[in-house]
Amino acid sequence: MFFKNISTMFKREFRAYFYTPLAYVFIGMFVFFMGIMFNSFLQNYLNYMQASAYQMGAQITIDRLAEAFYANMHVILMIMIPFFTMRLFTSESSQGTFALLMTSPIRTIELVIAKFAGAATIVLIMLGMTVIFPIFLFAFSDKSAQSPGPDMGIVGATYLGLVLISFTYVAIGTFWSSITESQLIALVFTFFNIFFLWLLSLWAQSTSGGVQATLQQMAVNEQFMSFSRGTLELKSFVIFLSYIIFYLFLTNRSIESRAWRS
Amino acid sequence: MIEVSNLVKKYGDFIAVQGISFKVEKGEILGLLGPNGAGKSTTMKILSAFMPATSGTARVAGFDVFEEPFEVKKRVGYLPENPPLYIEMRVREYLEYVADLKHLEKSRKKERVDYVIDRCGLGDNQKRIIATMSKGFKQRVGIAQALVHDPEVVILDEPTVGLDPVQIVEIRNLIKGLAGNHTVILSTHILPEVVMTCGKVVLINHGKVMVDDTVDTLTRGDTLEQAYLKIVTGESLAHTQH
Repeated sequence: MFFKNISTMFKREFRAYFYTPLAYVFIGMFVFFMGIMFNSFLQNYLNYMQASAYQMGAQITIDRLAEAFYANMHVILMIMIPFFTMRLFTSESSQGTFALLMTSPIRTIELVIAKFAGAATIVLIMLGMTVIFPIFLFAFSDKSAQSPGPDMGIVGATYLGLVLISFTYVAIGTFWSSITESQLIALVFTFFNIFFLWLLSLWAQSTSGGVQATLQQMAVNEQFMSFSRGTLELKSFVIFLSYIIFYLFLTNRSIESRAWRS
Repeated sequence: MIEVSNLVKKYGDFIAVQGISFKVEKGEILGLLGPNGAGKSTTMKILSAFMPATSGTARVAGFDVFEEPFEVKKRVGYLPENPPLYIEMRVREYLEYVADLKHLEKSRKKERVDYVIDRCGLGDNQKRIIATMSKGFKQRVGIAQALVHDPEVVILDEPTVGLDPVQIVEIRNLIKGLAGNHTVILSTHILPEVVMTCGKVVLINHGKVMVDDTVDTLTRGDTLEQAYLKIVTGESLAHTQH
């Protein structure tokens, strides 16, 4: 029953994104922005190639450029994901459909997982559409020493990092949508929360010792950066998964407590 | 089929329901009456396992709503004051979703969805997006979702609100038709409706049961309206004397 309930609610949740043009517009915008960025990335790469042909180029490799490209993608995801998660639970409250869910034989955790999975799938679709860029690079490089293609291992690790960090943001957004009936409030708090996690790495720079190390571990973008340099560490997985589980747990608590308060 | 004993619900300091008890036998239709704020909706929310009571017990379809809410939820169809509609969905799609949520067997899904669409007069509108429908139609979709999984117990919070006179008659007949196979609790402010559809009446005021009787006995001397006013205003007059 556990998976049956989740799949029932997940299907509705996923479809709900496409009842309005919102998802189409956002996915379209994302792909459009990434396309423009990829274009300028290629331009830069060609410039560096020319410069290094005259022995003037610095140690710029295609992998370093790809790292910058994906760092930009991460920032765009940071901005866009809260828009996908803000409606998750707020819409149930404002439409009164929460009463239907709470009087159906489902567990709140199944509902929470279904909601998270619905938004997470949208993000996966967005990320999936950008896979064309590294494939393009790989296909059109001649794999020579002067013009190597991107290291597909690093690209793979980067995507894994993007998926994990996006899911963390989705979990954060899921939580904030569960504590309010207002989409705007959910949006603002999700932004604030995500930027707070980002600020941790800046804060870490002004500290030292154990505090610095702890803050750096907690800053998700630091974890993501290690993925995009091609380092896969168990520690980073654990940190991302901890964030996701923590926020989904809080969401479950907030939904459960709602029945008692209503 | 439904057994409520000493049910209490507090919202902070406010006591919405103060120790009510009543019984509904299988196949009966019970009218839950009372002024606004009397505790009708709260009682219905507790019976549908939507929220727990502060104290007291309630058994619905043989299960305790607090101990075994899942078993209760499978067997109860609930229409809250505001119909719980996903307004961006189409009528049929929505009812199929509710059927899945309530664990209706796959083999019966089409038959049941067809049946409630037909009975609630939604046949011509089953492909419409709910958001584009009038209040009356939305209310009908709300009733349909409460019936789609063929529940033993049906709890309807003001089911005829927002309907026009013709629709009211239709829905009233629909509810009457549920008697026998289903046990129904409905709340309403329309007193003639109770006389026409319900066998039993429970009147609550200030969270307490004032009357628990059959419609026939209540309407023996007075009309139901007179009986209602006597109880409600008499009680509230006594209340103000303190």
